[in-house]
Amino acid sequence: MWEKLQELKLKAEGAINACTDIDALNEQRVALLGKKGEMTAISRGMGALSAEERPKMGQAVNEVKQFIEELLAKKKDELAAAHLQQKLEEERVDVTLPGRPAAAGRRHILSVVQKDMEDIFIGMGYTVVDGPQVELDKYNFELLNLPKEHPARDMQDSFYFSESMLLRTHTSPVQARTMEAAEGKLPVKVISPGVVYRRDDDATHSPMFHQVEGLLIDEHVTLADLKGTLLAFAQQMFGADRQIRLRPSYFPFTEPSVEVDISCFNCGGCGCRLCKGTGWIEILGSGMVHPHVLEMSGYDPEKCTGFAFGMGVERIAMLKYGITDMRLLFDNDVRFLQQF
Amino acid sequence: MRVSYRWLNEYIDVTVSATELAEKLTRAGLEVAEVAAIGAEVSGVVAAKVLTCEDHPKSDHLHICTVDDASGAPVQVVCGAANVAAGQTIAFARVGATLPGGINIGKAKLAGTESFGMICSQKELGLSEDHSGIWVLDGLGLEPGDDVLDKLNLRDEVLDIELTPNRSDCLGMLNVAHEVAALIGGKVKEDCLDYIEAGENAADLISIEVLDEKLCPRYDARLVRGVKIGPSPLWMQNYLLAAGMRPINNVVDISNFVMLERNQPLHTFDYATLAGKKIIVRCAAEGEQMQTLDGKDRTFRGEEILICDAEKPICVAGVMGGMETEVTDKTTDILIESACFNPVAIRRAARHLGIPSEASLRFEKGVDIAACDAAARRAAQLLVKYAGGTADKGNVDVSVAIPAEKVVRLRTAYVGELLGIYFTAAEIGEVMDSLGFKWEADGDAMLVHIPSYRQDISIPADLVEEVARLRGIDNLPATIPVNQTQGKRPLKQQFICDVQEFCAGLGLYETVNYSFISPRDWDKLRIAGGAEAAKPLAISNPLNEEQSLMRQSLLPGLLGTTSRNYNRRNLSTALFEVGNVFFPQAEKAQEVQPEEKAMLGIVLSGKTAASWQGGAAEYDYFYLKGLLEALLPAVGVREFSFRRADAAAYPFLHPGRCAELVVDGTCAGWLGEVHPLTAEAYEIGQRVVACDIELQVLLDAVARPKLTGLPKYPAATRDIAVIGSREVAVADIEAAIRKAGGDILAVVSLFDVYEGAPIVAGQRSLAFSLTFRLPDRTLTDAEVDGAFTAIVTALKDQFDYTLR
Repeated sequence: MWEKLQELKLKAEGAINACTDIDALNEQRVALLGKKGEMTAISRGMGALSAEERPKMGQAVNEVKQFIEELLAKKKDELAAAHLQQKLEEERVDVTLPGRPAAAGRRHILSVVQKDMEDIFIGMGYTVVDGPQVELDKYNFELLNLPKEHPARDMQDSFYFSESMLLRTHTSPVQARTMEAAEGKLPVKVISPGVVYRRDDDATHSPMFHQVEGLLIDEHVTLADLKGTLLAFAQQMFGADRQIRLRPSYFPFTEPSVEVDISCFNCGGCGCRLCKGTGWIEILGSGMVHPHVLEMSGYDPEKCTGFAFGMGVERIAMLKYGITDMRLLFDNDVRFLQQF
Repeated sequence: MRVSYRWLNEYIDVTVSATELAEKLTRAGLEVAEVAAIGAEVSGVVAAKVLTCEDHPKSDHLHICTVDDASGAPVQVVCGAANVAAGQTIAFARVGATLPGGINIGKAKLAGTESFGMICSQKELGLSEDHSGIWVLDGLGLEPGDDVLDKLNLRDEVLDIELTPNRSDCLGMLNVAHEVAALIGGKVKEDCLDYIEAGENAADLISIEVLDEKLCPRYDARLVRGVKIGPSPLWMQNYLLAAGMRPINNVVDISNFVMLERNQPLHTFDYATLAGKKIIVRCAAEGEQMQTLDGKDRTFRGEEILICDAEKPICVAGVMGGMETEVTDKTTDILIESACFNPVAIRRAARHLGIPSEASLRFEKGVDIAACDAAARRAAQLLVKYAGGTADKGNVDVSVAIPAEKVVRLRTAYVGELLGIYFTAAEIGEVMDSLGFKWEADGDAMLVHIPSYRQDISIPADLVEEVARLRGIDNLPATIPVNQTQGKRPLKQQFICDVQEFCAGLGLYETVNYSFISPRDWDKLRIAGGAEAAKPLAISNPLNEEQSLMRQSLLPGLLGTTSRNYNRRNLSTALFEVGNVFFPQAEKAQEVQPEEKAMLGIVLSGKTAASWQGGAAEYDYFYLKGLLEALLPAVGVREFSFRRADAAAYPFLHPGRCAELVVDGTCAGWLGEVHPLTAEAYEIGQRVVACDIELQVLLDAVARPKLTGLPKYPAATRDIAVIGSREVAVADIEAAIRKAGGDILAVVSLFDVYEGAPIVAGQRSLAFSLTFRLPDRTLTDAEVDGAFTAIVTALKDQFDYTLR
């Protein structure tokens, strides 16, 4: 019996190691350890042994049984690992094949830039206000110190519906309306973004374009405050090391009026093609709100001052993203839209 | 305004270079666009005398000349100008000379004849646009060999100043000099306007009557008789050329010179032709006619200002003179008009007649009424000196009261309050001094006397601007306003941003299209009666007809964009736009503001991107509807439905594939497949689907979601497949299922639609998955079975749909 046991141990070792898949291994398990298996057959012979021999043999049987079970378990793990390995090998793909396209669109660069501009000023405490695009002459011009036949109206060639109604030429009428609605309350601190229209059409002018204008009216507002505000804007929009420069100019609704240049972000101010060698790029017009404008909207210029500024979204977008032809912005070729 | 650096030096000693001056002017708000150098490139051009001049034997226009340029032997040169003649002194470019544009003169052979140099016109020397012939230098005191440009002082620099509308005073050189004095210091040279009045009393020779002093607040005239028309002095011609004006003759040139010097346009009449020796200034009558000096017959609208003699109109005031009274070569007696006309009237007349001029431009911006007679005197002085005339005594001046000198009280502290940088009274006083403004202290303020030519200054803030632009602006600190406010984007703007973000996230590209469209768009949309019936808001002065009407839908713009892309082989496009549309009021549509609605428009055409694994989906009605079903809840609109649209109301949509979006019982817009004829009209050769949705209706329905908790008890699912008529809308069947299922029915989801054998024609099979659940306990089988039976019964009773 001892011999049989040793024989079985050897045989089992060989048979288990020879297994190449999990099914064969299971067959061996049944053949070796199952109810009709060889181990069971050997165990049955125990009854014929003497009382002295039986414990010894019992221990030997258990040892062999345990040996075989361990061998089976080990082989099972090996086979499972090999199987997984093979599966993984088979599932290998060319990872450089293109992905399955997901639907992905884009916002228009103008609406992205406009929102960026809005967010900068919201961060500085301004509220976004909106108004009609078809405006009355009163709000577009008269309340802004531009009476009928004022020569400066030539600066803003307009699309008219009648003597009294036109497509707004700037978003300033929204400011006039805001001041009127505020009824003298302070502060007024708003930005008015939106579509405006002027009667011009070439590579640098579009008959429809976008502006963001800002207005602050309060006690003790100064031109220096305007400079600080616009410097903060320029640095957030074009980079932390930008500087700005004010240049005296003229707008009928502000006095003093200034145009604002930023130091060229292309060359850093040493002069290049973008800044036409000057180191500076004009980005917006602004000034201290004209006392007449304050008066017409119910504010006392003795008690409060204010500043206003206005800039073209197209210009900022073109500068920032290297767009040289304004018409591309309204052409909406998808190959253009996809680039932003 | 073109400012000659040399001319400017007549009025002030400019101690800085033209380039430095340009920089200073620009920084002070008078932007110099360009500094152009005249004659800088020219070298080797000398005076020469034409010795011989013969026709070229082989050419019908060339001449073979010999010239003496003081270089020794006569030089042979071939010249094509018609006006070349022996005996003339001319400008001769020697071999080796350089002309503007870097042109080098070398030996040449013209029609077989050697030519050693070139006889130049003014244009070839870069002095003017005059190319009518060679420049004849006779009488200018030049000797052969003299450098022409040096000897005649022609080298100059011209600053091209782009003036803002408020600084039209700087359309006069003298006023530019005042500005320069403020910038670099120095004193403007006082001009002496004295001359001898040897003639008769002007008042005995002419009478002036102004019928409307609003149109003509001042009309001042002086007379110079016995003049001889001839060329003006060369220095004057040079200055005029530098300023961009063509020299004509002494009388015209003097008139232009004074205008450029003093920003006061003058008109000169041939006194002898004035009927009745009378000037009447009046408003034109409607339909009145006159021939202007360009030979054109002009008909007036009845708002122009006319200068008339005793019989007839002789000049359109400030715009253009008449043929009959114009100064000609034979004129000997000159009447100088120096007037102030109503800017608006001049502006309208110049526009209407289409003849803007240097003079009308100045009148439009307003001239200095106080300085009219100084200009007339200056002209008379020059006519006496350079045209040999005799001035008559005094002037005839019809004028309203000349406005008193403006005095502006400037509180010293106000400068700092407005600028944020403080100046002492003395510092502010220095700025006023530099500008030539007289002032005196008045307590904590100063009283500043504004010269009459500075019409732009009338309130204290205007004076603050002077301080800012001349002293303060570069030293201005950058501060942040102290007020504490919370910035925000109002609900509507935030909603629009959300819509834009989600549309992009769902695979759409945002576009920006013009708000104005073409009348033909209405035809393309197949709208009965076209734009005429739709009566959109019409721009009265559009750039062109294609951009003349305000849109009432985003569809035409988006279809135009789709079409443009399609024609460029961008065959698949998924576009959206957020923008306003305009609905005119029923009454007074052109005067009362229209209703403006913010819309979301989507236009899809072609297919989604294909993959190497296949599976590009065509953009069709259901793709678009799926987009909206995803978009609306994402932006906060949870309750909405779609209903079949009345096809007649949407002629631009496929009659079987058009629907309305209903939100809170309101129609929020439409969606559907674009009618094939409309697609064809926009030259899009494939299916297009579109929608146009009013954002305010969506915004009104936005509700803040409230969490209902995750389900705690298991759900029971049953599938149901029913067969019935395909004419019944799925939405109705779904509604009936929900109603019959009651509270325990949580989810109804259609998962299959089938038509075809073995189902009989006209019928279809619909399969729904039903999920039953209660929030507070587990359902029993009996409850679910009961609901299921109720659903089956309801579908049978209401729609004759039976279980498959």
